[in-house]
Amino acid sequence: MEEIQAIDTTLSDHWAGNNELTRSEEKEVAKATSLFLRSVSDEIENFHEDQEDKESTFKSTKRNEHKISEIELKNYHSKFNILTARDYSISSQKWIGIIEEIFLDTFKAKLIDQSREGTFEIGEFDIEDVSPDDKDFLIQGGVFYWSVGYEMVNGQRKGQSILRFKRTASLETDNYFGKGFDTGAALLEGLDLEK
Amino acid sequence: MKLGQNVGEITLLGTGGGYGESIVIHLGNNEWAVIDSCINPNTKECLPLQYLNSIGVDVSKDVKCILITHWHNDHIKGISSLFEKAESANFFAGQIIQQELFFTFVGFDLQKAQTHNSVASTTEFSECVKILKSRKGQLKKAVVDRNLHTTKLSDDTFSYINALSPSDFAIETFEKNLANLIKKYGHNPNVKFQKKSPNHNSVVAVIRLGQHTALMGADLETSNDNRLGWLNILDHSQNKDKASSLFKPAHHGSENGNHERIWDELLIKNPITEITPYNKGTKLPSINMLGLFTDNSDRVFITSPVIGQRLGKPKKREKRIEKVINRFAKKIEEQKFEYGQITCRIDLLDKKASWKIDIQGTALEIN
Repeated sequence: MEEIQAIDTTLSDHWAGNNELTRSEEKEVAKATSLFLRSVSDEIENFHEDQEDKESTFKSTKRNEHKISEIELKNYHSKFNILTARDYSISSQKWIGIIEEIFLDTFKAKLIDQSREGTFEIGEFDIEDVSPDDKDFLIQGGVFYWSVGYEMVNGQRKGQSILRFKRTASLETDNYFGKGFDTGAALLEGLDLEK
Repeated sequence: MKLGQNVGEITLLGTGGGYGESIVIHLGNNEWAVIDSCINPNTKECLPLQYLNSIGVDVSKDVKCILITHWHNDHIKGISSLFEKAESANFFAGQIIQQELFFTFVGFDLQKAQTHNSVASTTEFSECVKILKSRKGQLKKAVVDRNLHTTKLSDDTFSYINALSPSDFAIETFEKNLANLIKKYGHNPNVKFQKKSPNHNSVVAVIRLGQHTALMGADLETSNDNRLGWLNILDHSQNKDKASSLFKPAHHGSENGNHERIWDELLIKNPITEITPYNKGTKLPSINMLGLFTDNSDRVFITSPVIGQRLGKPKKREKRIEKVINRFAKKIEEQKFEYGQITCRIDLLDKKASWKIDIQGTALEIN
């Protein structure tokens, strides 16, 4: 079964997520998640008992999903309303960067705009702007995410920049490795190559 | 506009130096070929396909040959959409000897692209492979001294495309490099393959158009080893003759794509020269090389200017976002897209005919 992710964890890495959920908000999300899991589990059991009525089973699951997503959406929505009203506003721009050259103090990267496709940009950054934990990822071909935006704190507007290198869980790496071989083999299979 | 049966054409399409290049060829008798492909990054349209459509070519019937000179993004983007339409075309690429190794590399590169939701040259290639399989076609090899296509114009006049490279040793070296790249970058989905070794695997094509010849240098580089690069062609090719009156210097007119013997042994005196620049990071061709081209040719054309200062700005955005970008990036500049087209036409049957040149978009004559 696919893992259900109640909260977008990447949000907590971003300044947009600096203000964490309140305890009551956390409880509500947890409640929604557990309700959803329980309903799915019930449906699976019912599904075994009543194999023929597949359509009604899935309809019923969909109804529950709808209910849950309303709760989740309400949570996110209310959270951003709270933040905006209190001390927060964001206007951001995001890129995927691929490192092309590394110099003594700087590095150069190809930047692909995530909000507007089309032409790409070449950016140069100070190596000291890369967090110490990410320095190991600073190699030619390394892929990173760069976002810029504004944070309002107590009425003061503050520019922000985050340069973050993607880390991969070992499970994800295993999948990638296997898929790499499989994809290549599948392409080659049945292909007539002139000798 | 329908081109006359006996008018040969070589049209060079350029994109401003960062988004690739393509060559569209009319061999006569409504037979067309395309070498490499590129796209407009804003519309994603395949430029050679757009050009062929604009001049009324029946792409499905009349395009007979598609050649990828090498695997770099700026020579392959859009090729799958062209190949999909070009149902009668044979598909050529540099020879692949170690098939499993090559396709493992492709598989990893595709996975890397998927991880970052981006497109790699291998994405285009894999689409072409799928098209080939669905048509039960063959991936044809381009290799030193190999004929890729011939069009018969009369009993004793032909047009053809011959490959002058890569050499066997270049293919072997290329495949060793692939193995090293897999070893170095293969394990990590978050690092893209980076190839910095010289390009000796590129396919140089000599194009015979009836009574006339052109030499298209692709990105082939020079080497001191005569088993590789231009020196291999100059020392060993069975197909070389001092005949080409139209020349596209290799590797965007860079020094490493030039060998002085090319001018003496493969070209007529004072050929027409056409170049696509490279404006990403390094700017090519250099002033010195432009001087060399104008010394050797009275007519030198380029698909767009070599940009110095004009590249210095990022994309236009909301003012406050621009401010914060400038604060955090030392430097950021947009790679501009500029469409330039150089069309060279010639009477295929008239030995004394000369090239008629038409330029469009950002293309210009240098001298």
